[in-house]
Amino acid sequence: MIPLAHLSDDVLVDYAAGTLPQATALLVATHLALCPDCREEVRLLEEVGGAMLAERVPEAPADHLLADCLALLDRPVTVQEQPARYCADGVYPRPLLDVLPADGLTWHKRAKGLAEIRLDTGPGPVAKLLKISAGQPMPRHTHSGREFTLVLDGSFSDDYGVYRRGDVAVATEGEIHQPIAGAERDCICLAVVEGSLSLTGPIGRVLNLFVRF
Amino acid sequence: MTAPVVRPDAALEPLVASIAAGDRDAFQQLFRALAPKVRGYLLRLGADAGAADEVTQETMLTIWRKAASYDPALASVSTWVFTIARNRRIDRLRRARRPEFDPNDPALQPDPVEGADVAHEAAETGQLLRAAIQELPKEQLRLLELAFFHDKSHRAIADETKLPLGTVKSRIRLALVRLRDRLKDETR
Repeated sequence: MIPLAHLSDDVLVDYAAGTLPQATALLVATHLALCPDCREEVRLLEEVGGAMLAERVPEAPADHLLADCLALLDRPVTVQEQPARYCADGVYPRPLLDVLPADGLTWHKRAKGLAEIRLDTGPGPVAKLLKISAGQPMPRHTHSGREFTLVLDGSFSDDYGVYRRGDVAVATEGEIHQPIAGAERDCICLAVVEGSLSLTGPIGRVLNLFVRF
Repeated sequence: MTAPVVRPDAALEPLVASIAAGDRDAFQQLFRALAPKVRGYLLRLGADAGAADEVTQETMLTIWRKAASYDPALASVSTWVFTIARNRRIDRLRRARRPEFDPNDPALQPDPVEGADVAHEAAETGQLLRAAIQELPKEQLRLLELAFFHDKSHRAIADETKLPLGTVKSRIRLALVRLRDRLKDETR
């Protein structure tokens, strides 16, 4: 199934240029694993990057740099690449699997029908796996930066439509929304919030204490 | 394709093939052709001379180690080197690997099978793009360059150029639409 809800040009440009924060880059890379259309787009954007590299004014390095490189060519590589690990049930594509604990997932319950796993993506925006119980609405919330939600399993819907595996919902700054998980099964998503997230509504305000991104 | 496309970048492809076979002379030639460009890219991104030298060296060593995996059907040499330099730079800044999809991942949604008429040499695409980029209106070119050669997201560019974020996005989008149209015209 090819995703219907894609990432916009500006996000793909920033990914190709290498200027996205680590958490957002992780979400983009995971979407790319699931979306041949956006992969093709990034390939084109990388050609733009390559073309601009070719047009760059050369800044010759000091003479010794070539000699240094030549001396290092035969040095055996000390850091061995980790052998690739793949997800048995195919839910988590590789770039995401690489930051998941190898010894199994421990979901932390955050609210009724909502559990999460915080991922280690260093400083900057936070990436989380969310598991929303089948048919369960997420707490109504808003955020100070962009929020990206990529569906990995199951589905959810919001005011704009239904999102399935590979689809990304992007909520802009200040937008209030309330996704609802599809009734067929639990919905697992990768969510990245570039600013802070706050819940709205009377129950939400109380939950804010617990669900801070 | 109506007219034969001149591909200066294509001259680099045999060098990469020789490097894959362990040819040190070929490596020196590629180094002379591309290391100054890579270094220019890194300096433009704000690296100091020392860091630019280090990442340039890491980029060139990665080329040596990975030359066998270079596929001219997927990317022109400049593009391949651009992605290596970009990734080495990020790895160094973040002390973490840049997240990328893995073409061998069984969870990957495979590409739709392309017809022979759509299949297009990546190096030619690169050359066409280079020509098309030169023909972009100056303002769009400036924004694309800012996006690629400064460590700036769209938002940061908006702040710097004092243009509203929406304007930055729409101008960059316009530039990309133009490039895409140009490619379609040429490959029809």
